[in-house]
Amino acid sequence: MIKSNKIKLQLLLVFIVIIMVWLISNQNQKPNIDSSIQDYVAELKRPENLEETKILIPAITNMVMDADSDVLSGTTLFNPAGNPCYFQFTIVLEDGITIFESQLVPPGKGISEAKLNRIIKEGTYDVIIRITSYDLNDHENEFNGGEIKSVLRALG
Amino acid sequence: MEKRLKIKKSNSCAIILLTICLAIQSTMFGISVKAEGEESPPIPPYTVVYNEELNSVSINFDLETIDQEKYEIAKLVTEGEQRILYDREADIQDLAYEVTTNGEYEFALYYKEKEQPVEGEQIITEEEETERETEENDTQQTLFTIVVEQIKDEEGVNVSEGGEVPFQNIEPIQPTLNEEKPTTQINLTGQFDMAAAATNKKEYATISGNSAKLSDSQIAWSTVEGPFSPHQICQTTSFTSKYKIDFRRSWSLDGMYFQPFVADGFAVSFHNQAGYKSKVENGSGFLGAYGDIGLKTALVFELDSFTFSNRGDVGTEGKKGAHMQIMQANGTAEPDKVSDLIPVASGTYEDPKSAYFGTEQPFSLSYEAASRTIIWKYGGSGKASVKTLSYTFTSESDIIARCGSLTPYYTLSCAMNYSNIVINNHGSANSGNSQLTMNEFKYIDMLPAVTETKYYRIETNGTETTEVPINGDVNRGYCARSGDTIVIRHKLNNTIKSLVDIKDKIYVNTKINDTKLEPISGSAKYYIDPNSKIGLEDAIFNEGGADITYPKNSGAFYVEYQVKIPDYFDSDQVSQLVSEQKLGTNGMTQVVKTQNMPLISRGQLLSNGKSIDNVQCSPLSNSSVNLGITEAQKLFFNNWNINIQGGALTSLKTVSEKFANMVNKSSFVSDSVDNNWKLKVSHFSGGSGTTQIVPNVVDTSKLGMYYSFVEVDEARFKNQNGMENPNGKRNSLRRIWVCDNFVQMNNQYGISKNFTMDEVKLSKLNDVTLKEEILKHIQVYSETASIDEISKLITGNKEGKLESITVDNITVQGITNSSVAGAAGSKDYPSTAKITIHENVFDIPIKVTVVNADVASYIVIPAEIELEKDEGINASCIGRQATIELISEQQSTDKSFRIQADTGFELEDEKKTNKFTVELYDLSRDKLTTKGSVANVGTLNKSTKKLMVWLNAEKIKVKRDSNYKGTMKFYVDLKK
Repeated sequence: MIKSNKIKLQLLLVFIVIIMVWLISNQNQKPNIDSSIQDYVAELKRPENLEETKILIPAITNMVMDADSDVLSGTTLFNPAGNPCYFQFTIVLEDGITIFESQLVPPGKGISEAKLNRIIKEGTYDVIIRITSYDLNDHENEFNGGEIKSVLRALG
Repeated sequence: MEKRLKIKKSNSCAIILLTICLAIQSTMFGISVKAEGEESPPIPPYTVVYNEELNSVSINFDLETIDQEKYEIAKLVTEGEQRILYDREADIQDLAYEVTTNGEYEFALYYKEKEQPVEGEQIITEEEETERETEENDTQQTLFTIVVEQIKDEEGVNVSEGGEVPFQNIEPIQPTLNEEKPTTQINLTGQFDMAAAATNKKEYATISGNSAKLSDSQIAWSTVEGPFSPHQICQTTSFTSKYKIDFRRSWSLDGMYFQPFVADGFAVSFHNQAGYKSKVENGSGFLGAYGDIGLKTALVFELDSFTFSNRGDVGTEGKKGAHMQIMQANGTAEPDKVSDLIPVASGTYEDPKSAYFGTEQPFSLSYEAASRTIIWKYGGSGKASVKTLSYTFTSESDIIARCGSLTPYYTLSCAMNYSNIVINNHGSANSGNSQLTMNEFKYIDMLPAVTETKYYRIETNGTETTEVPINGDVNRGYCARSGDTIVIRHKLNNTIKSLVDIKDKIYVNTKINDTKLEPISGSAKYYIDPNSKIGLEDAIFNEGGADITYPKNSGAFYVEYQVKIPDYFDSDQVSQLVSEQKLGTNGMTQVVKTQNMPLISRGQLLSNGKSIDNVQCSPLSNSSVNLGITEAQKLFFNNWNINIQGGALTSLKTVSEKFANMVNKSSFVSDSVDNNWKLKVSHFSGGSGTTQIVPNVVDTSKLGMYYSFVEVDEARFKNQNGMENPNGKRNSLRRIWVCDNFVQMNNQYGISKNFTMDEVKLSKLNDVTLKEEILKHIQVYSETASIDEISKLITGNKEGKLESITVDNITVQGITNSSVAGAAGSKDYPSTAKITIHENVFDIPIKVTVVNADVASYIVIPAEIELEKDEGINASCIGRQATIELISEQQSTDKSFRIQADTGFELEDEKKTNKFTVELYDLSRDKLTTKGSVANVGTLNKSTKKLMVWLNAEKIKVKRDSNYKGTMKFYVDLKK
């Protein structure tokens, strides 16, 4: 009788472990969506006849923010609606220093006040906006991406 | 030692009843109030005696009832010792003090306490003796106040101290506009009440026609047909002053008297019967003054031209006939009972047939306060010798006794025996008028003089400018202007340092040749020291004047007014600002000085804001704008006109502020069509600038002649030959001055509020550092706008072309198109110029497309690329064609994006056992040019919106069919 109970207890533990593993694996499968995203409707629309497999890369060639701030307040990093992918934005200074990296941004969403990892003093900076795209159906499946040469102006 | 007591006569009914009862006992038929003196400290007993009309009070002190054994009275004075009522050492005793206003009257009694006898012997030491002597010699003072509350004016209203007694309010006096003869116009109508004519029928007829006239400067009564209505013998009328005159001051009353060959003459009476009107009794008018129906208590100065010899009314010398006489009228005398009259002085003059008749003769009454002597003169014109009588009052009490008051009224009266004229048929009596031509009553006890009058203009920031000449310079616009706030400061000198009432008036005469006057209001201050302004006090100042009491012993005295001149915009409202100082209040005064200051109108700038040849020059929109009262507006330097009303056909040129060495920046020209002056501003860099006329841009047709828009500095204005005006002639140089906040013309473009961007104009070669905010707008816009659009944005009329944009400025090519269709000599002057952005750019409603907030372009890339066996660039390869596209908003179509990609990328199978490189080729199957690790795919722009690239891999490297994965990276770079 005691042995029987012991076996049952062992089975229960195994079951719990399986459940936890399943949960963890499932959790990893969910895309890591950036918490600061907001709905974003761009004035420039995606052409209706554009193939679904096409990715629209916004040509953000000019960014403005307040000087002495770490918030990119004058620029919205967004993923145009209709894109078949998530976007992950990374802003890199000319010298290779990354000042911002987002989580995944779904199509039709944007980050209007990106929190940079440092305060930007007044000035004009050449930066690269790196856009990495991931399959909406498999967020671990990376699509083609792009890098945009941009200028960041921190205005006093 | 000072002791202060207050005795108040209340206004209660009980007191009134008491005073009425007392009045019954009073021989003066007034109100008498008695007060008992107090023992310690001594207050002298006194009586307060009201006259019949309750318009004055005599406070009579009785010092004799003070305990003489206890007190030795030294002196009794009014407040501030302005008047001594009793002085033992000086032997002055004038214990009646008359007041005419309600109020609290303070008196000071100086006295010594006498030593009281003590019983029994007393040993007194030397010290005690000295102390006692000191106490005896120590004069003590008691202050006490008597309150008078029952005095009423004509309407029965209580008259309070500080009110209008002894004078009363009247309508504003007609100002004296003629400086040369400031006293030729006086205001008798405002100073007298005129009685209706009375006849022996005791009918009080209404004065009609010219039977008895009272004009500003003349009193006349007539013997012509219908002199009085109805025609009766023994007619009389009178004119009683509305105001009292002060016998404590010296004064003068004079004029001219004309009588035909017979008349009863006239009389001047001093009395205290307000509004007295003469009557006829027992067939005689008694010169309208005395007799039992005449004045009760009056001192009468008569000129009796009645010639009957059988009447008792003769001079004291016993001569029967025409005479002049000073007499006391008591209201009881019969005309034939000379003894009942009280002649105080008399004399005669020659028979009426002499030169006194038919010729205007001067007369005068002058009173000297110091000697209390009044002198009565008549004659002196032609062969008529001067006759003089005089009377000296023995005291102020004597004045009150004879005139009823220290401040009596006076009456000019006359009588006329119509029947005598007819019966005796004396000469031209039927066609003659008797008349008095009066000069204004005036006090002569001081000789004040307005020694200077200064005028200062107050700027809009409240600061006082430097002194402006009082007469200014109208031709230069350097004078008082409508709308200005100015300060007028008078300095007066009072040579004998007496108290003086000053009536100071300031008013605007809106037209020089018109009598239209407009009083202006403001604030007034007066002080003694102009630097420290010690004694500065505010005064009431409205309806054009202020009543100010000249401080005693002040010598020089300043009165300062700050007033805002009303706005007058019509050029024909060129006016005078009149400053007039009068002494005394409310009419019976004399003018000290009248100062006329020229006043010019402030023009009104009107704009019709028309657009000429696509050049919207005026910053003023389609509405009338009064720039004189709005904030400074900056007009464009180029292309605007101003009409200046009137003027001859002449031109002049101005030199602008910025380019002082360049003439012809602007010019005044005459318009051959309407002969109006126009200020034309062009942007010629040289040569004649008088050819371009762009009408109706700014029309200032209502503008005054001497206003301008440019500069105060006259040195900036040159005539056609570059010379300054040598003689101020209009045809050689018209001097133009700026009104405060008037149009400013800058040598740079300016923009006013509510301008749209398209209306921004260019200036010449002005560099101004752009502020960051402005820069942001411009830059942002430039990101999305085409060069053409920017040029349009900046130049407005597309005359300019954007050359470059830097942090500090925007350079534009070609702005000086001065051509206007039909204008002779028009010519383009292309040049390079830089424009600056005025601060007001903030007010421009700029439509800004913020590129970094909403991207205007997309680069389209494939999500994945799958290589096909049949798609390689040759049989040994696999491959795929990839497309990169550009999607842009309309205004971004001029943007070019350089697209690059990695020279190659790797694909590998899922097991990562096989990996190969994909290389990039162009559509010609040639490898893309590379720069480092990236290959140039091409440029996307409005003409090339799609790029094709071959992705190719050698088959041999692809070991098996499998799922290969990899990513390709595209690089986007905005091509500059």
